[in-house]
Amino acid sequence: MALSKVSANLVWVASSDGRIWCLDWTDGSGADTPFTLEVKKVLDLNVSQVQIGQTFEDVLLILEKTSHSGGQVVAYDRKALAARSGKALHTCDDNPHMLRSAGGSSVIVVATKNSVHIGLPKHKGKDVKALGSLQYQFFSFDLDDQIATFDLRLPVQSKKNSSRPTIDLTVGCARGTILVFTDVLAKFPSGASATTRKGSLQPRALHWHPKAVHGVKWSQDGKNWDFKPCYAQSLILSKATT
Amino acid sequence: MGLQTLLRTIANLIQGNYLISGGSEGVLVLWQLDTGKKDFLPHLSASIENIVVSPRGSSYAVHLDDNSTMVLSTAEMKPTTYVSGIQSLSFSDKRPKDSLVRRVWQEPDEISTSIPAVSNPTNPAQILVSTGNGQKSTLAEGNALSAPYLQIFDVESSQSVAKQAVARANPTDSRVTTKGYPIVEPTVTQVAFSHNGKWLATVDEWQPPERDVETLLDGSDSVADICTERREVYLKFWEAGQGGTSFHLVSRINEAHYTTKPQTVFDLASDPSSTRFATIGGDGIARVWSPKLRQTDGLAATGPEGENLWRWSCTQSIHLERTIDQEDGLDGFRTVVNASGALDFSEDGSTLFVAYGGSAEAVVYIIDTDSGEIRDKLFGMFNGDVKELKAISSCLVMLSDDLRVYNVVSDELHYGVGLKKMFRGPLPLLQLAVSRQSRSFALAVPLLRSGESAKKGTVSELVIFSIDDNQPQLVRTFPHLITSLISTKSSSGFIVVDSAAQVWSVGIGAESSMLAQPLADIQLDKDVSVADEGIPLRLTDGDDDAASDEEMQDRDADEEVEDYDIHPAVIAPQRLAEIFNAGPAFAMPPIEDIFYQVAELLISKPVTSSAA
Repeated sequence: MALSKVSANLVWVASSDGRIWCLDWTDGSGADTPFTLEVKKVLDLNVSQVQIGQTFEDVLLILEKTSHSGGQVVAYDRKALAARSGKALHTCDDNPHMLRSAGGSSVIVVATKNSVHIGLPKHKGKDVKALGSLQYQFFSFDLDDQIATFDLRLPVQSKKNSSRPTIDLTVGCARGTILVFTDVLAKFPSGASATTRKGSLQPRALHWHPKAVHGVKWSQDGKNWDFKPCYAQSLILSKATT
Repeated sequence: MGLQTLLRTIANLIQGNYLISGGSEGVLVLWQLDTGKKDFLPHLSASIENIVVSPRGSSYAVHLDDNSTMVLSTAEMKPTTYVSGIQSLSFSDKRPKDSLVRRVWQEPDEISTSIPAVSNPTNPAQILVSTGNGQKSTLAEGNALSAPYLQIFDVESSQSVAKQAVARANPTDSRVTTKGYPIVEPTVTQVAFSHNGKWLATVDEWQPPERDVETLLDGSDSVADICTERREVYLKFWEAGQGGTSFHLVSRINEAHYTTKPQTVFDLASDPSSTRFATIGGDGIARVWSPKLRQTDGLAATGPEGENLWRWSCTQSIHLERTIDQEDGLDGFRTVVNASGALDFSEDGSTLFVAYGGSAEAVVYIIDTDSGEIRDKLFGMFNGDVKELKAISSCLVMLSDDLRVYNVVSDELHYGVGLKKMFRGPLPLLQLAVSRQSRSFALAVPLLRSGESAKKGTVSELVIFSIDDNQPQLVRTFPHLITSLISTKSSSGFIVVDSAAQVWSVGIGAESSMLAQPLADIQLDKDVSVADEGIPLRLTDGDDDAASDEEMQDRDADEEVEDYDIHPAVIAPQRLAEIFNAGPAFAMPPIEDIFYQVAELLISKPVTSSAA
């Protein structure tokens, strides 16, 4: 289930049997007319806003189960949902179960049983003519523990290295550890899709939970949020003085 | 480069280098990554299932596994909004994350007992459902639930009203023992309202799990004996507060039924004509409980505001298994092995019907409530354990492995039905609710093959019989397991709660439908400016996906609702109550009429206020 990025009134809801609803939560409309996909099982759903042609559209990233332990990430827009055929972006085995994206689908992260797959777009941001032209390159690495949950964020990007976004990733594990990866892509060689084995990445481990971490999220503290307007103001001031 | 690093640090500061996490401990942990400092928000009401940070970062939404969501402000970590659906036991759609790793204790995936629930006679929209600290800890101990709370739930608005602890609860303790097992809490086994809704009687029971008493084994007793010796059974009487949202404990009876060890209270019945309750327990004694004015030095004691204070006590105890002609000439009570029992008052309160006895030899005792004398006995009415006994006008509905409807006045059996044959399987979780108004009763039975237990995917069947006819009036298969079946005092219908946390109403002449849905359709919730009602409706009205929603981003939407321009009309709650509490949902006038009535309130109100 995810909020639409295009309209604040719309909520996308996926059922594991392949029915997808686009509900207007303010008046309940759309509940009777789901889209139906022919899939084994919908494992997860994420919605991102992508500029296709001239307009911004909701693109649904759906993690579909394809076999006993395999799954694939498929992108759909409204047309593709109606036609029941989306654009497959990535296939992975080893029980994928969670999918998130950030920055208007500039990063897609899929968690399997104990590995993380990070996808970066091959296409250039603004020239997506149609859904079919979406293409991603995936990197993956393994962890020692089973993944229960994860979250990602894109901190302020430095302009120099815009082809490679900085991605901060945090993973909540089944044995209670929280792993924090800062700028997770820095260790990957640029170029062709690569797989790194565990050990080469040095995450920071936080351990308090005695059992599985059910939810973990990056957060901005309230106090720091108060900071933000001040920062904007000081920037303007510095412009004025120079 | 130096500037770059500096900018990055500032950006981090502004973005806040914090992590927030939660798990089954019910503790929200805030990690400050730069300093390694941790902040805790402990003692949430249930296991944390998911956390969402609002787009601007000003609040967290926390999804708990007791079907509730809390919105916290990030600055003070104080809750700003709390929304809860019905918290009765339900099956989760997803495999619990704690079971990804094999642990000492694995969460059971079956429901083995029905959930005690009752409808409030003064407010038919309210039901009280027994509940625990979230789904996982409620299921902590296979057969016995850990459910020390009663949730007061409004079925019309589909909102949780309050949650009241009625037994010893440990919400502030760690929920796991040092050996990794969950802490077992008492469970509410019986709950009943007095006829006028002013009093509530509850029975809660606790016994140590067998794994905890192994050290006490000395060879003379079995583990089960040691556990039952340490059983704690409390009968409690509560006075209903204003609006039925809170209950104050008036009397607690420790071990209302006791032989050499505390005995289970099999059944609790409320007199439909006067303020009193009756219980039957494993000691073979039926007890009648009544309130008395509390006195100090011969004067009636009063509370701080001059109100009368009451005390509940046992006013009659009727020994059932009395055997006078024993060899030693002493009055003795035959010990009954594997006893079971049930009881009910007749509609005018003059007679108490008690069924009690060992397996397959239970007897129905007909007792005059004035004198406490046993007037008559009925033999051979039960096949197997006594499950239920209810009185409807002059008939007794008796439930064991057979269903029998017996007329006590004409002394004849109306009909009998072999339930095992009818439902082709064993009968755990068999439930009975009677509607005295329509002289009918409902049975809820999970459809299981022998050897199966009620797991996810089990369906239940609801059958409604009239006392005059052995052909069911309604047979309906429900898509989920029925966990509670409740009769309402003011109507002829029933309320059904299932294992998907859905509430159904079953009534005569109306299609069985979810209660909240019509209201959601016409958006009454918005018109009466209770802005955040729309979401809880979806949480509970059974849309599987909404209820099991993982990402839960609609909470963010919820915040936006608060920013909405709220309709200026102010309506006194009692005006709405007049419209909506005219009867339970299934006996309500057409939804169109209700809509116009509410619309009228909204239209007329500004006029009156300007006149004032």
